[in-house]
Amino acid sequence: MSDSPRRYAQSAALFARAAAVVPGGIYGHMAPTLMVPGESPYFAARSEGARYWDADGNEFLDFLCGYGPNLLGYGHPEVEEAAARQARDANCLNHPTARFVELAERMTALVDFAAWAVFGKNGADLTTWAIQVAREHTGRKKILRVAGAYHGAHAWCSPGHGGWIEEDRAHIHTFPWNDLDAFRDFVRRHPGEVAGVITTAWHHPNFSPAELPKPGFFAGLVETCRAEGIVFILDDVRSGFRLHHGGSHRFFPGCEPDLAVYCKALANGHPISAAVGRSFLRKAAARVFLTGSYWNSAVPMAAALKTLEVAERDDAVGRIAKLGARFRAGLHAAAARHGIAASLSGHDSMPNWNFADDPNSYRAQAFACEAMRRGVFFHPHHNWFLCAAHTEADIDHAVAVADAVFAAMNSDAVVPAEH
Amino acid sequence: MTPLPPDELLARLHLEAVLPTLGELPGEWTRAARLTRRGRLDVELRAGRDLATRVRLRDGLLRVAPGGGAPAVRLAWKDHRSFNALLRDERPRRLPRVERGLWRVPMLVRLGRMMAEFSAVMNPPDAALERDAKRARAHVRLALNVLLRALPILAAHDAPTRRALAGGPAGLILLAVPSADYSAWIRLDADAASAGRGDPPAPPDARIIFRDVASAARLLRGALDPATAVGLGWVRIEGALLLADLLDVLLARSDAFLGRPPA
Repeated sequence: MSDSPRRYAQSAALFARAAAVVPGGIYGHMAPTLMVPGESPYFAARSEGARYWDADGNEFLDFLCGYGPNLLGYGHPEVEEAAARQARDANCLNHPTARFVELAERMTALVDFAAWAVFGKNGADLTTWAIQVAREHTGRKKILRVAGAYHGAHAWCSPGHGGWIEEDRAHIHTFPWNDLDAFRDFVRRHPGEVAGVITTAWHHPNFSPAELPKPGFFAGLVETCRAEGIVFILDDVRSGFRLHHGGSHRFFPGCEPDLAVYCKALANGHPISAAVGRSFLRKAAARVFLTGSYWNSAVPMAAALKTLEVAERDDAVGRIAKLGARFRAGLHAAAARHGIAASLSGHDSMPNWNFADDPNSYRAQAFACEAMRRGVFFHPHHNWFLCAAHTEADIDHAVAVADAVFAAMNSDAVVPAEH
Repeated sequence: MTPLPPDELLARLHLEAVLPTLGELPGEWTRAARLTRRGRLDVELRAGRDLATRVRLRDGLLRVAPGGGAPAVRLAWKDHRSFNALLRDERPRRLPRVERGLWRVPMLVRLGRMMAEFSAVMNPPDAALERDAKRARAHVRLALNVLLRALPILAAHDAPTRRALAGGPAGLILLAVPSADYSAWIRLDADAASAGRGDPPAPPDARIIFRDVASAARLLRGALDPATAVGLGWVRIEGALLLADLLDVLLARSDAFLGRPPA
């Protein structure tokens, strides 16, 4: 792998074409603005395992994994074979296929509290539906969410500034992560008004270190929910099936959701999301209309079934955790060697890397920029992801690149991004 | 600070952000400099009851500043909308009253010529910006100056701007167009915004650097959204992206009032 500066002529040319016909050029979380413009690729071409090649042919050892969907490795042969086989038979028809039933059965067997399952395409399809179910079940309006948490790009929760009105969020309220007192205080001040609370399994905001749940946080939250008849929704879209084969709630003591939403790791890159719930929510779930043109497509369901099978058989969670621990130890040691104050936070399978005294991310941007120049893709602002296709050699190589970048940062050899 | 009705807020923006920038025109635009070498001018433009800006030219020095006084000529618009129409090149519903200095009204001819030069720099056709580097440079520098003056006003009196500030991060932004020898800073806080020319008073939390004058001109005139401009390399953003994102929201509010001619 070359450590010469990357060249992005094809990415730039494609972006110029996109700019003429697409608002923003590339919108959303893949927008160049959020990476290191000029020093990161804008368009990808192909992928394999833990690597991908951009439109210019630059190779990257990837620590973003498509923002999470790559659990087993890009283009995992068994998953792709299952998807291809299903595609030969049927995909989008007048009816669901048997895969629909099989996947619902698999999900309810896999997730300990699940009595039923439904499917969508993206996380936000079902986080939004989940709060509707909570409202339908309780007959209440208010939804509590954690400030700064991401639940999708719908009007009630989009982090964007445009396209929503105050009325969209008239009954959406926030409390700080881990602040059980604030949560309880809100519930106390609004007796009989809170339909649901939605949280992620741990707090993993962009631009900031991740925060794991404090001991007792989830237990206290669940206790209040049970006492007040509030539906606890776990947004496990990003972390689901990375921490535990049965869902992230199994990893955190006391986390006992009534409804959980999964997406990213579910089908190793094939488009599908799922929600599962306790039996007491079944009637409300049946009353909240849920559909989309492709939501019953069989190919992603076949891919999901195979992904879950392979992940459990090969202990993907255990393998990623082991690699993550090696990564954490290596990065911390490298940073310490260079006297750089920085640390990984969150869970090892999808850690946040943050420099101390870097509230504006200048150092994070310089670090990611230099790593990309050396062929390792670290996102400057978003949590990273590990996948089961990473090897110990990959981890060691990434640590060695980070070590070289730390040395460059200390010697002021970091060159600003070019355009 | 209290939110203002849209017409009154626009009038304030015209009087306290746009017109004061006229005072900088002679330093940026030779034809305007020639106009100010001779003659005298002392005109107050007043909109509604208490909004006014005074344009004074004396000894070759042009000064435009909000506030009233005892000018040679006072033009007063009873309603804000009619005053705004003047600045937007629209037909006003009502003409202004000459409240003072009727016999000195010929002064307005000189003011009109200056305003025409101002408009030629602030609102030129795209083609003029493409072929005239000096005009493009002046346009960018003055348009940014308008922005620096507009943001604190919007932060004080525009409800959507105030909501955005209250819900967004606070911090200091460096804005630079190196090829136009231009730098400025903008400070955003939960309930206010401030801005100034030159180097920021502290290390900036975010840096927004335009690649060149042409890119800045295109972006300021709304030819492209900032996200696309970043991808194309017209502008580089470093540091606190959320702060830069908040500034984008404020720019959109400024746009909503002062508008940008279509590219």
